[in-house]
Amino acid sequence: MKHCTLNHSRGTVLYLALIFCAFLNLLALAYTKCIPVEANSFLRSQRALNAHYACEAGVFDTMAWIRHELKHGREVSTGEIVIREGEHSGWFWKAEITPDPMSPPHGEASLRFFEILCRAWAPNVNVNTAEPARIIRVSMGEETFARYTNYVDRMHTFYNVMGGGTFLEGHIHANSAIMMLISDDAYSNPAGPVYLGYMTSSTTANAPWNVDGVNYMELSQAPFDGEGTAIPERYEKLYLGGQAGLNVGVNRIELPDSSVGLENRAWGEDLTNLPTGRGLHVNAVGSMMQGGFFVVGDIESMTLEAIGQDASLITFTQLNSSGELDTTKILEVYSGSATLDGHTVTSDSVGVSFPDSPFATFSNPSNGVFHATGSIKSLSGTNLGPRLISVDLASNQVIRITDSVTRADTNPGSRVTGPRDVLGLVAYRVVLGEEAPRSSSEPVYLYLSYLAGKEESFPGGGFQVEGWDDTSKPRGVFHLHGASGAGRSYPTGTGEGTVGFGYRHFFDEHLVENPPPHYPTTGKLPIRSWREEDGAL
Amino acid sequence: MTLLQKRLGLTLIEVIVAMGIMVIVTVLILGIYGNSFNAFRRGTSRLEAQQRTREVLRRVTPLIMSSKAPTPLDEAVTEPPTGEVRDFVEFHSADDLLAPMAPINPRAPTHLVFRIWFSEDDGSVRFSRITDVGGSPVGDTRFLGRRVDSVEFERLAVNLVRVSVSVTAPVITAVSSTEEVEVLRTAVISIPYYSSSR
Repeated sequence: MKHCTLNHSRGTVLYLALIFCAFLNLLALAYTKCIPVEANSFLRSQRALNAHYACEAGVFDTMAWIRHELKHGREVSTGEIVIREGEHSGWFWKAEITPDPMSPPHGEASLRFFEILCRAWAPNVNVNTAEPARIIRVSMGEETFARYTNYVDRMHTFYNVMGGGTFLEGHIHANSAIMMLISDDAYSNPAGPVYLGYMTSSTTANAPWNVDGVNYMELSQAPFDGEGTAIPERYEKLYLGGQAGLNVGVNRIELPDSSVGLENRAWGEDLTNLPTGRGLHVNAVGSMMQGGFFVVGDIESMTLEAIGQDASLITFTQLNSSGELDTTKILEVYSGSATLDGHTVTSDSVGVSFPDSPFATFSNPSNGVFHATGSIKSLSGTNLGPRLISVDLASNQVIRITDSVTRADTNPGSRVTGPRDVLGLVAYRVVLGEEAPRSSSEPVYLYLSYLAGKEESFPGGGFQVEGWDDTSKPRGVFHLHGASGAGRSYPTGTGEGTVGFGYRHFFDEHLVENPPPHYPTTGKLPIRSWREEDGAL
Repeated sequence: MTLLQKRLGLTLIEVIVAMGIMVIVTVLILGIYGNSFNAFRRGTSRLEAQQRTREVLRRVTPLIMSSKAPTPLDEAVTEPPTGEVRDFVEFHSADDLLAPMAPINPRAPTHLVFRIWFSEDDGSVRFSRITDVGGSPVGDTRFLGRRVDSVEFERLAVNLVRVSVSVTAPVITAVSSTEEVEVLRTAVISIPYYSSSR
């Protein structure tokens, strides 16, 4: 009987064990329901992250490729969509580059703009049929040098911050360390700040000025104390938004190393055989101009003139082989009609009076580029219409300004209110000649933007003022309404002193979006928009 | 046989003891079952809460990543200021993020200001275009999430925004008592515009 009782006990334990097993099975089954939910959720997050990285990689790869192509003078697209493809960690991306219709070489604008539409797909997916997992659409465009109110590659002179408040608008950038001389009473000026825009520099000044990177030549006037602690109220007097307005250590911006691009724009296509005959050359197919105006040789004098509000006349002289001056006139009519040497030129056409050739009429407007292989020894007048005047950079040619250069859409002395009559100068040196009138009451007006210099180890190009420190003449003043860019900073005046040539600089904010036609670009392609969207994950 | 049958039978005490053991075992099993059931319900609620936080972050992330400063002098994200925390974020974009993706005119982009905010009234996360920085909503408002307890936006740096989403979900347990699980999910969003344009 003992045996029988034992059997009963074993059966009970077995039953209990089975009940527990069944219960545990049920529990395990319940939890297994959670596992796929959690796993799917994790996979979805991981796929979303991978899709983003792949798509972003495609965008950045494409942006870098566009920069590379443009830097080497190659067009990214001649109007059609360009496709780039690649992989990132097994994920496939495909980017479509669509040029803005206004972009060169076929568009009328001087800045190139692109849209990149990048899609990313998971590994082992048929990209022709499957929906992408991530979509990013980016717009980007070239950046003009004209967006910098003052650009300097190498700073040899300093910014002079006077107590009277020297206000400079717009973005200032120097590749070298910024030098600044601040007067004793600069911080007591109730107005401020002195710089009404960002100030950026690619180089930090050496000790003891490495506190914020700017070389404040008088340490006692620096916006920090002897222990390097910032004095906020001083920074606020100097920079827009205080110390945040100063940014040292940004990427360098290089000057163009040649003017080949501008020569091509003036000719209207890539120059394979440079015209060699002295004088004006216009590349035309039939009566249609392909570009702008290409001049071989030095120009002795060049005058810009507005004929009413609808036509522009450029008159320039060159020495011929006999040593006499030949005169060439270009009449560009934007609306209505105008007459040149007895010939009527109608709207949207150009008439040219050559010194030794018959009068020529072209039935479309130029692209605004006027390029000379030699120097322009005297420039003055009033500009009408968008225009760029350039000379050869490789041979260090110069543009000398000998009197005011104004614009037809703005009264001299007034601020620029529109983008129409924008003028740009590109030369190795832009010089304000000693012929320019020197009077403190009647300033020389310069309604233009200039880029003076080229990429070189020791910049020598820049903006110079002849006789800036000549005390035998009365003190003069020039007012610059536009952007300035220079390879090297030269002394221009003695600030608020009584001798030399002082200046005032007013930035024209229209230049950021509407620079002079084909004005050089910085090589940067800032993003205009960025849009991200999830696809099918 | 009679003796045998008599010996094989159970006494009252034996039955009571057996029943007592069965009761104890049943109570133990029910306790384990209840705890397991609660764990399952808690897990399910946690999953649901996690899913809600994930969805909010999934919808918020591409929107903040689409921010872009209107000019080099501006910031892409205007609120909160760097180092501060808010229950809303305001940012610029050249795209109408409430409309389907479409090409824009890159030469004259229209910069719009958007706000993502947490509404404490109904626990929703909303997205809308606003008139200007700090302005009032205009047009349609899109819901990015509901039944959310809190959303915080912390500006870590000029190009970094940390988004924290907190969701509390109720758990209905075996004994019908109500408890809650709380899930906090955080993501740091890096704005791609800054990495390539400055």
